[in-house]
Amino acid sequence: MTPTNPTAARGHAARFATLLMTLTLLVLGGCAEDTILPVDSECGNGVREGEEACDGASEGCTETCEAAEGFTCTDNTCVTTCGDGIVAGAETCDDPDNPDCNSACRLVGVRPGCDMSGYWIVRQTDFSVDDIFGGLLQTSSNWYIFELAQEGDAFEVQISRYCGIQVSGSVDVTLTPDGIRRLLPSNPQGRNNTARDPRRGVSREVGDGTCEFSMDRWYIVRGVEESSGESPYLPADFSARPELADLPVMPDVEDDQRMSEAPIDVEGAEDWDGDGRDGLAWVVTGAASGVRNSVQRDWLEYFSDEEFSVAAGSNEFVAVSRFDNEENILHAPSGLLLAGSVPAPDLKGQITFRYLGQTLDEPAAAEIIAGPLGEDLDADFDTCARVLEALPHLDSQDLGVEL
Amino acid sequence: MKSTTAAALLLAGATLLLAPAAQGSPLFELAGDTMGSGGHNARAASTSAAATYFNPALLPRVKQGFGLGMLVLSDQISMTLDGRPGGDVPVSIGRDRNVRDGNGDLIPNDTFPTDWLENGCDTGGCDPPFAPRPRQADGSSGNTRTYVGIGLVSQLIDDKLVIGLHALIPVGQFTEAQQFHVDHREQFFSNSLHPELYSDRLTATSLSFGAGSQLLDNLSLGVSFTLNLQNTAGAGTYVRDSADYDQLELATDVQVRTGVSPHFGLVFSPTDDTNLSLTAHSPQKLEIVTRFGAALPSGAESDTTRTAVHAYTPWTFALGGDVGLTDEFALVATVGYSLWSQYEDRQGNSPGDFYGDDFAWNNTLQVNLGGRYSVGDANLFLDLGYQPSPVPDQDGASNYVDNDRASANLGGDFAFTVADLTLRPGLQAQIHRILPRSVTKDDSLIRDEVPDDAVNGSTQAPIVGREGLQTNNPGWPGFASEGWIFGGAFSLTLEY
Repeated sequence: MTPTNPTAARGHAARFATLLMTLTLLVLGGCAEDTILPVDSECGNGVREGEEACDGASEGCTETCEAAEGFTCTDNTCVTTCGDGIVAGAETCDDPDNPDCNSACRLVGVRPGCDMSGYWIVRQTDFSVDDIFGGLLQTSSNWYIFELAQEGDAFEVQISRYCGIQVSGSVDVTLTPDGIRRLLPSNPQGRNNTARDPRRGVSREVGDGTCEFSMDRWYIVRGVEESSGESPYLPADFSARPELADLPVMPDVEDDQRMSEAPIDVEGAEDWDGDGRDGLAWVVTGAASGVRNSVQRDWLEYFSDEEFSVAAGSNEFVAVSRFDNEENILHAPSGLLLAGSVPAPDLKGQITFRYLGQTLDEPAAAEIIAGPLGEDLDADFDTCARVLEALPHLDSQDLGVEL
Repeated sequence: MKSTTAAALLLAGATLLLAPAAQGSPLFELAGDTMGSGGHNARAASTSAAATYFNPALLPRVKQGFGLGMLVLSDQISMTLDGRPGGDVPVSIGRDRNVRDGNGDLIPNDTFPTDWLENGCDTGGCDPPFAPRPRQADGSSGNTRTYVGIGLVSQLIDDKLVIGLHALIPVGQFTEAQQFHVDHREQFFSNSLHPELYSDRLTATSLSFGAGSQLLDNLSLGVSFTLNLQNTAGAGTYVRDSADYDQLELATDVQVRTGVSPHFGLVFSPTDDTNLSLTAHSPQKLEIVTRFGAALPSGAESDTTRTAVHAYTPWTFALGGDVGLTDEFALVATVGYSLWSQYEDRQGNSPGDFYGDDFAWNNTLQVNLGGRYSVGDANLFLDLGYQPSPVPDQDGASNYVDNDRASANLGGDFAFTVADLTLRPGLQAQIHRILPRSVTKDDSLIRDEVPDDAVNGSTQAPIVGREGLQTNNPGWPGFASEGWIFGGAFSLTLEY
């Protein structure tokens, strides 16, 4: 007979008794189960329910509440899917191999060779590391609209509008509508700059079907004295390419004044958005929230290289963006919003140029530009909203960029 | 006998060492007397160490001894959630945090797109990815738990001073305290509804100790205590990377403070065959106070303190009695009144104060009726009870899930002697019907998480899908609940 371990036997007995009682109870009562009842969706009532992709008057939503061919639906609104090969909605083409078709699926005229003349919408994407949460990657978009004119290999900005900034990362940063309106005519890079010559660039064919592209370094300020490009905080001669640290010191306040509830009059700074505080107001949301006011100064320059080459005749291209930035925070509601960011040293910024056409009458230009640039602020504001929609902010994940 | 008393006291002391894990006694209240024949009328007729909690004035009538037992409870409470007829929080809310209402004020960061909750998000800014948490995918129904019961009754000075100790200790899974929310905030966590007065409350390690005295031939008094704990946990953190908490530096500071809740009992016997009982149980709860502090590389610091309340059991007064109809058969009844209007939920909130007077909890009157049949050393009992829910209809923002409950408890025990040892095994079964209940939400009482005038703060463009009600309240547009709780217990008491 096999000797029995009394402790083990008691353990087995206890487990057996528990199991027996549990099984008895479960057999008697069954198991609880949570369920969610199906909803009787009613197509046509305007409310997206159950398995409906959409339910409303949105173009691209079928009578059976499905997404029409060539459309995708989110939030009960359907938009065309550019790149699916199906011309739908406002698309005038959908063929990525057609040089006449831009990345928004609009037919535009092919620009001749490397000529930059015409209207362009531009998104400048830069990367920085934050000083709030310990070096997280921040991605910023700056939007512009340019009218350019080229003679020979050189081109220059005829008129520019600055359509605002958005930052995402550890926090999201945006501007107020008043801030965007004030930014629109600021830092002019074309003929509307009365203080200096227009910004220039070079675009020339180099023989392998590509263009050598560059735009000169340009300096901009935000939230400080600035009148049509003239500012004591900008270098007198942009072509000297001075570093920001070598320029006149930007307006600032004492450390213990930054969280002052009462507005402080800061010499050299201006209330750009009418919020009662000097500087430009930045709306910070996400892991930290609030509105902070600051003055900023950047330089920025663009160029093509081997990685970001520009194809001749292309109506949309991406080149390298390089920048430096300095910021003095004049007010923040909490210590979390007192930290800033610095350019990510090893990551290339990207500047995206999308061609709209030679004149405002061309379809792609007319779709975005609400009126002649620089003549009506409200029209320019509407134009900028369309620029942001056409070239939406991309974050580092969208671009596959990481530190 | 002195050595037996000393051994009993030693056992009592050892059991008290379990105190740090003990909390309030919702488990006692549900299960009743699982060590003897008190059943669900234990306040009037407990025959075991369970009298320590239910009515310590009964201790002088309980035979000296100590016992061990096993209890199995299976709570099978089902939730049925109504399908959502629209009402989704749009995806654009997650993509664009600069959303303002008509007054220009930022809408707070306290909602997720409904699509993210159902399907997760791993593109377009969700880095690291946002894990899906579908509605009611993480409910807490359907648990079977086992408990070990410990009982001790010892006469220190005959029936003039009798001490008792009673504990129910969960086996395998120790005390669980889920601090779930009962409104739209639960979308951040389980995005599910949970039974308010069962689930984790049945994991409490319940422990009571006390004493009773037969002051007069027809009058006895008793007092006992359960432990109330206040755990204070401080967590100082250094957030090196808010997107990678593997790099978090953490320093915790945990303190446990112990208090007691007293309970009082009285038994008056106007005739030989009649006993009247009066009990008062004071509130019991487990408090967990958590202090959070975060320091960031920028030098900025932020901290806050939150208090969670678990296993709250309110003031309960009960009147009970038993009357012998024959030498073998007696009727027993208990009527209890519980001040649930003073309830504190897991977030430390009083429902009425937090959600409005219409949603204040009600005090309840609960009733148990039963019969007792005794022949020689054998006892049989049957109890039937009804416990109304203190929770009003949840047609507003809150989702306290609770139902009326009807119960039945059948059991018995008998004594036999082996080698001069008197042993009393007992066996019982109980069943609780969680009666069906359903509610349809009043949309006007639900928080609209996207105002109808919401616009993009930068462009002033209307937020798509802003019209009408948008909510991630997991209880919207309505829900139903019902279920069963089954129990079985075995005990063995050594009487001396």
